[in-house]
Amino acid sequence: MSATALQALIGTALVDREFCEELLNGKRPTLLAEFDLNDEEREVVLTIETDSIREFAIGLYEWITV
Amino acid sequence: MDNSLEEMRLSHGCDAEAFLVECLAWGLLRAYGIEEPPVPVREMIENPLPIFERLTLLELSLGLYDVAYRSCSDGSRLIVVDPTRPRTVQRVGMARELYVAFCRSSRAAELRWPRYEQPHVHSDLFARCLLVPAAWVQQACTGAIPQLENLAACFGVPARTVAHRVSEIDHHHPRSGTRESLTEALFSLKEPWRGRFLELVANLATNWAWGEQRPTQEETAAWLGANPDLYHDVRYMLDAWRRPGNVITHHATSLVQSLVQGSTI
Repeated sequence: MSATALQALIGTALVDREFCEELLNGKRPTLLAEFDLNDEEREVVLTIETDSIREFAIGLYEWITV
Repeated sequence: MDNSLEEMRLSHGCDAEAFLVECLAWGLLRAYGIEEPPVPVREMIENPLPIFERLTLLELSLGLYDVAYRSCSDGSRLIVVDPTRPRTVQRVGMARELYVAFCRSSRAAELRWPRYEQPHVHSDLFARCLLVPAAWVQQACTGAIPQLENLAACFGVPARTVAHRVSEIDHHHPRSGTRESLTEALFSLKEPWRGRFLELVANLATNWAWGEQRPTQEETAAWLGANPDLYHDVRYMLDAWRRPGNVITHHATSLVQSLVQGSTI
């Protein structure tokens, strides 16, 4: 899978306030099951520590573009 | 502008903003459960998500615009569509104005969305991302390359929109061009690591038949482009190398250890 799943993850958080809060506040592992992330992407997503969806998106963008 | 977004813009330019715009499009597609073209943008507006509070679609021949966004004094918001315009033109216009509606929403303000005060900066890009998602174009182009007109019909947009999108995906999509950027990143390493990385990449690419000579930048880019597994291994290895205290996967760690120890993988 490419960055599409990561972009869908970020996008869902952008359009869904409740999902966004849960993504940033402890329910991330559960929420990730809904997305077609590979092991590397999942590991990176779980590593990012932030309470801001903007910083979360920036972290993933930087990772995607190396 | 939020500091993190400003830093993002300064360090990555408009590509980072385009990435966010594309994320928004994917978020909407997922929220509506849309998995294939054509994207039903009219139905999306007729059944707005909570973030598009008080948004309504109205058909009205304006004469001046294909589609326009208007906010009313009572707080309601309209996307006005000229029904006399071609269907594909209406679709692109509705997608574009849906982005304007998002930029005018409280959610965009909460997020301090990039350039939300100037929604038309990215509204055309958003329309292309929403109606012609990159992954779907790439999917449609596997095997025999379809005619532009057929792609346009499949996505329900004008041919010029598809042409623009295909060009955009080729040149600007975050997953495109990374072969070149990864190659450049390898060649920008300091010695002795540049030599070690390149020798490893060359030998991985040639099943250890390369030897010790230095590959050229073109050769390296060609290998990375031709072999997705090699691309991913090198990418994670380089990422792990550059950020030793940050994100290191087990796989990348073993690759880096092999590199440092000079052993084969």
